Amino acid sequence: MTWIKRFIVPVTLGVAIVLTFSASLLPRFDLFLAGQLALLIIVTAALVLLMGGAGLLSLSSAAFLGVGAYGSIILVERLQIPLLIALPAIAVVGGLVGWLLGLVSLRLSGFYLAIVTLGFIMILLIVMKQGGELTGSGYGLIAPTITLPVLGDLNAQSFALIAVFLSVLAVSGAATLMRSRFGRSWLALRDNEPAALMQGINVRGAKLRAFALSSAVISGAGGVFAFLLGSANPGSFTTGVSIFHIALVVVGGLTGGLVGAVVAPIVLFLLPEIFDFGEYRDLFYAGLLLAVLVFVPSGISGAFTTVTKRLRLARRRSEGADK
Amino acid sequence: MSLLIGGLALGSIYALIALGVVMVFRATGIVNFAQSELLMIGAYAYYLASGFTDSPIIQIAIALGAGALGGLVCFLVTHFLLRGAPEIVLIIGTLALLVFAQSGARLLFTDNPRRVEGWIFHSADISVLGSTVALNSILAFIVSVLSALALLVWLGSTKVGHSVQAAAEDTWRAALTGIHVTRTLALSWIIGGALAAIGGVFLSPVTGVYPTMGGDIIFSVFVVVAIGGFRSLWGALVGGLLVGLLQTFSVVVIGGAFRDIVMFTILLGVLLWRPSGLFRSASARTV
Repeated sequence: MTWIKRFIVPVTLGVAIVLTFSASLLPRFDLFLAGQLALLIIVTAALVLLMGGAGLLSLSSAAFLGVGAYGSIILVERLQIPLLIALPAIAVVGGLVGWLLGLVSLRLSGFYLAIVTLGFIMILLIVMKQGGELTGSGYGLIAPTITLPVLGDLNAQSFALIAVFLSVLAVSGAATLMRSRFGRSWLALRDNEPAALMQGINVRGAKLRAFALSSAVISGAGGVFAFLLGSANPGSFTTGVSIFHIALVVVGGLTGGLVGAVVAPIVLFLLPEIFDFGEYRDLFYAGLLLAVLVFVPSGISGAFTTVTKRLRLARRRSEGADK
Repeated sequence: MSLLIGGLALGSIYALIALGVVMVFRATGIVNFAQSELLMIGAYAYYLASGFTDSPIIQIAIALGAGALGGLVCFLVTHFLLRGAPEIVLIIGTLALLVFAQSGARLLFTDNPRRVEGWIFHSADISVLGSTVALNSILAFIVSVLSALALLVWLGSTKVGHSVQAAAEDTWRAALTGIHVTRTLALSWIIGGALAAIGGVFLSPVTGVYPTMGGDIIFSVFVVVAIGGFRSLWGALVGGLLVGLLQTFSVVVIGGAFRDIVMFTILLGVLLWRPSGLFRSASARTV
C-alpha cells in the first residue's frame, strides 16, 4: 500500500475524477442523495481530525455548516461576489470564528469547548431566526442561480458532482494530514497531554489548529450545501444535527482513521434514507451510537485496522511458509 | 417585584439542575449533558401523575421517582457500560442518552406541549408589596432552595453524606476506608435526577411539557455551572439564582431574543476572567 502514499496527489485526483464521472451517470434523485452523502463525508472527515485526532468535542458542527450556507448565499447574492471566491472566503471566516471560540474555551479541560460550542450554536440559531432581512428569519434564504461562462446555469446536479469531487479531496487531505507532523501531534496530545507537552508539542496551539481547521472545512461544505439544496433555513443547522455528526464520527471510529469517515455516513445517512426510518431515525442513530461506544469503541476504522493488520500478518506468515 | 420573584423561581430551577451536574461531576468526573433531560422526564411523570391523582404528595413522589430512576439509568450506562472510557467518550455517551430521551418522549407524547396545572396552588396568585405574584413561583423558590440547602447540610453532617463526599474526592482511598463506592456514586446520580425532577415539576406549568424542554435550558445550566465552578455546590446554588435573575431582567430590558446572547457573553467573560468559576472551591485547579 506504500505506493498510494507516494503518489497521493495523482491517485486522489484520479479517484475523484472517476467517482465524479460515475456519479454523473446516476439518476437525478440518486445524484442529489449522493451529493448530500458526499457533504456529510466531508463534515465527518473534518470532525475526525478534531475528535478522533485531537480528542476534542464540538457541538457546533451544524452551526459552522450554517455559517457556510448563509454566508455563501449572502456573499454571492447581496455582495455579488463570484462563488469561486465566496466559498474559500466563507471557509476562512468559519476557520477564524472557530479559532476565536477555541481561544476562549481551550484554556481549561476539553469539555469547555463542548459547552462553548453549544452556546455558539444556540446563538447562531437565534441570529438565523431573528436576523430579519439579512437571514430571512424563520424561512431562510433562497440560493441564487450561478451562471458560468461556458457551462451555463449550474443546477443541483452540478453541485452534487462538485460535492462528490470535493469529498474525495477532503478524505485524502485529512488522511495525509493525520500522517503528518500535525496529525501525530494531535494523536500524542489526545492520548497523553502531559507527555505531549514534555515532547515539546505546543498543545494549545495544536488544539486550536484542529478546531479552526475543522471549522473552516465544515463552513466550506456548508457553502456547497446551500447551493445543493437551493436554500438555507434554520431547521438544517440545529443541535440535533450536530449530535448526528458526532454519531457519524463515533460510529466511524475515534481513532483518527478515515475509513470510518466514509463508511459511517453511508450506514447512518443512506440506510435510513433508503429504508425510510421516519420518526424512528433519531432512536436508531442514538442506539447505534451507544452500542458502538459500548461494544466497538474504536468503531469502523478500528475494526478495519484490525482486519488489515491480520491480513498483513497472514500474508507475511504464508510468505514465510513458502521459503 | 413579580419579576424578581419570577427570576428567583427560574433561577432556583436552574440551580437544582446545576446542583445535579456538579454532584455528578464531582463524583464521577462526567459532564452530564443529559441532566436536563431528567427534568423533562420528571415533568412528564408529573403530567401523567396529575392525570389520575389530585394528591400533591403522590404527584411529586412519582415525579421524583422518575427523575431518580433516570439518574440511575445514566449512572448504569456511564459507570458500567462505558467503564474507564476517555472523557470525550463519556460525554458523547450522555449526548446519546439525551437523544434517546428526547426522541423517546417524541415517540410517546409527540411534539405538542402538554398543559399541566401547577403543583398544590395551581394558578393562584398572591399580592406581595402591591404587585401580583404567582404563588407557585414563591413555592418553587422556597422548595428548590430548601432542597438544595438540605442537600448541602446532609452532605456536610451525616455519615452517608460524608461518604458521598469522600467517594467523590478520591474513589480509591474511599474504598479503602470501607465505603461502598459504587453505591455512593450511584446515590450522587440518583439525587441529581431527583433534584432535576423537582425542577421539572415547577417548570412544567410555566412552559408546558414538551420533549425538548430540557434541551432548551441545558445551555443556561452550563452557564450557571461555569459561573459557580464545576466543583462547588454553593456556587451552583448562588450561580443559578444569579443567572435566573439576569435572564428575567435581560428579557424585559433588551428583549427575549437576546437572552441566550447575554448568557453566551457571560460564559465567555467568566471563562476569560476566572476560568475556574467565581466561587473557587478548596480543591486544586486541574488544568
